Amino acid sequence: MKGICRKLRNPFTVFVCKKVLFLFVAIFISMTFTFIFPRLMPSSPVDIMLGKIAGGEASAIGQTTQQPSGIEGSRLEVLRRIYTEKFGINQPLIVQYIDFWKRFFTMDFGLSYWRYPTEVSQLIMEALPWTLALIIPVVPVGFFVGNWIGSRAAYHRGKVDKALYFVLMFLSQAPYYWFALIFMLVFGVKLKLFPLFGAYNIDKWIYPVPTLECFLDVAWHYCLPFLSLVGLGIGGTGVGMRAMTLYEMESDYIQYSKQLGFRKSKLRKYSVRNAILPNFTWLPVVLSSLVGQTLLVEIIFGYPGLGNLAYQAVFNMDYPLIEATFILTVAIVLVGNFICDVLYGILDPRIGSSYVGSK
Amino acid sequence: MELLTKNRRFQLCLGAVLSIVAVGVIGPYMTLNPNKKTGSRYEPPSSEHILGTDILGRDVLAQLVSGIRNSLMVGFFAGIIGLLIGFAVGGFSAYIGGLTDETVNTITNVFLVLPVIPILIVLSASLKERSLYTVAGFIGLITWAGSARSLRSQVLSLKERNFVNLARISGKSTTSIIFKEIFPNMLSYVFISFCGMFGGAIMAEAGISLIGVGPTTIATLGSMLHWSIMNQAIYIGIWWWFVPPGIVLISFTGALLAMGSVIDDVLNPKLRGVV
Repeated sequence: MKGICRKLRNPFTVFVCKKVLFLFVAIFISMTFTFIFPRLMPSSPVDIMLGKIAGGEASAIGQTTQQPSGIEGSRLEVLRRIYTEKFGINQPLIVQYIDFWKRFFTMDFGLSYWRYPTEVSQLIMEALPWTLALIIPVVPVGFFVGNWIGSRAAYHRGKVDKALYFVLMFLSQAPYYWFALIFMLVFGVKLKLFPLFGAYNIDKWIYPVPTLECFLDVAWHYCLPFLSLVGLGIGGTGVGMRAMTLYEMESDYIQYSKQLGFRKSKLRKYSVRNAILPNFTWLPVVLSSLVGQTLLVEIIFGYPGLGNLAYQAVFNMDYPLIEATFILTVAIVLVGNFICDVLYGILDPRIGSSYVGSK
Repeated sequence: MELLTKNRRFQLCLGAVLSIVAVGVIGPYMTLNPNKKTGSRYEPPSSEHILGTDILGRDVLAQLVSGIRNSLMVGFFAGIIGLLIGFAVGGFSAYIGGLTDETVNTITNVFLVLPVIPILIVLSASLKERSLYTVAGFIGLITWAGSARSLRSQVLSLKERNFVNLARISGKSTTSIIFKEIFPNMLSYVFISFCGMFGGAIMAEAGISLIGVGPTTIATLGSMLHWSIMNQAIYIGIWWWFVPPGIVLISFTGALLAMGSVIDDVLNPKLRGVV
């Protein structure tokens, strides 16, 4: 007992506990969001599904076919009742809400309405690796390249700095989705260097197989989406890094070391270690906007990741699929955020203790 | 203020922003009707149609100009709404302090890390018809957290100043202190965070319009991109349909951001030479 007490008083443990608490509050708020908004939609998902069964096209919101082309109206009514009951949409909202949390804790989202009767978890499992393959490399690559360019810009003041600053600002501001379109036009249509659509050649493979040829094809399809995402990360961190390095290079300890005759590389090493810290606090924000961007870029390129899945789910009013994709995107953001926070606490010991001190 | 008007970069940015706003305000009266067929389909840029025509033979320049106006409106209203929420949440709670501040700050942090685009997609897809104002409202409702955070830190530092203490001792009410003592002293910050939200809202609107869940049937910069994607303009190489909206987006948001940083630069002597 005494050991536990002592452990609880350890500033770092308290810091991590607070962060975990924050994680749960964030999850609660965002989950409630996910629950409420799809249910405000004007028409019921059963309508869309029955429209499909009846042979009509029902892709856009609210456009359910009224005239079934094979099943009579009365049987359609029966089907409607069965499905409404099965999906539990006729229950009062509070019961649905409790069910929703039950689904969340058991991580069992049931069957998709849109691709009935495929399990939601299966759809997700097919899509998740593609999205993670885009997001996970972009964050460190953007972070390191951005920091490298940013600090370079700050060391060489003058023309190089101005040019680099302009480029970085441009990258951090430019609409990435527009970049994606431009890349498609230049590299895909005009130069015909890269494919425009999908993650692999669908005509050749139904699903990716572990052969070299297929791997190369996947990598080839990967280039353009990756390029359109990475620019923003580089720009964002680069701008911050440049400002912080300039600030650090002016500071007293660097000036003093300079007077003592330290080598330039040594000075740079010192300044970078301090300048890189604020960028770490920005990583969660970068990550959260990156997830949104990845969704859009996936939709533009027809990349079979979570973005496309969410797109289809929203347009087909597939509640379980909307819930699952949204929970996953939020989970990626929040867990990434949590990791960044704890990493920051380790990197900068002052943070951990100041969190406790503020209480 | 004098420093600001004499600053070369500020003049440049302000000029860029104002000229785009002017195009958005005056432009729609000077161009052709954006919804009418005025030429044959996919005409390349010529003297008659400066930016060519789209798949239905509509003038792209007219579309662009009215798109600028609509996008600006979305950005402006979203910025105002976000600023109001941000100030109400961040400013008041910071002044009151204590548990209120702690709770509100946690909620702000949650909103700060939530991914904006997915929430916006879910939100706007829940409505069948969306006007400019509903989309602006959604964006404002979700993106207020950034301004709340920066305004909160300003209020936190201002509320310890002597003139605020004096006002408190002389018996002024909390609301009147916030609006009459604190608010005028942080106008520049309010303006900077408005600039940021304005630009961010335009980008967010373009992002969700791009996949077709923005304002319905109205030309905005994002829906121009959406239409060009839907009609395979990229595959055919109709660059004049989707390149101009992007250029306008970049120059407007870039100029807004740069303007904010210049204001920060000039009014904050500590930062001078760094940014």
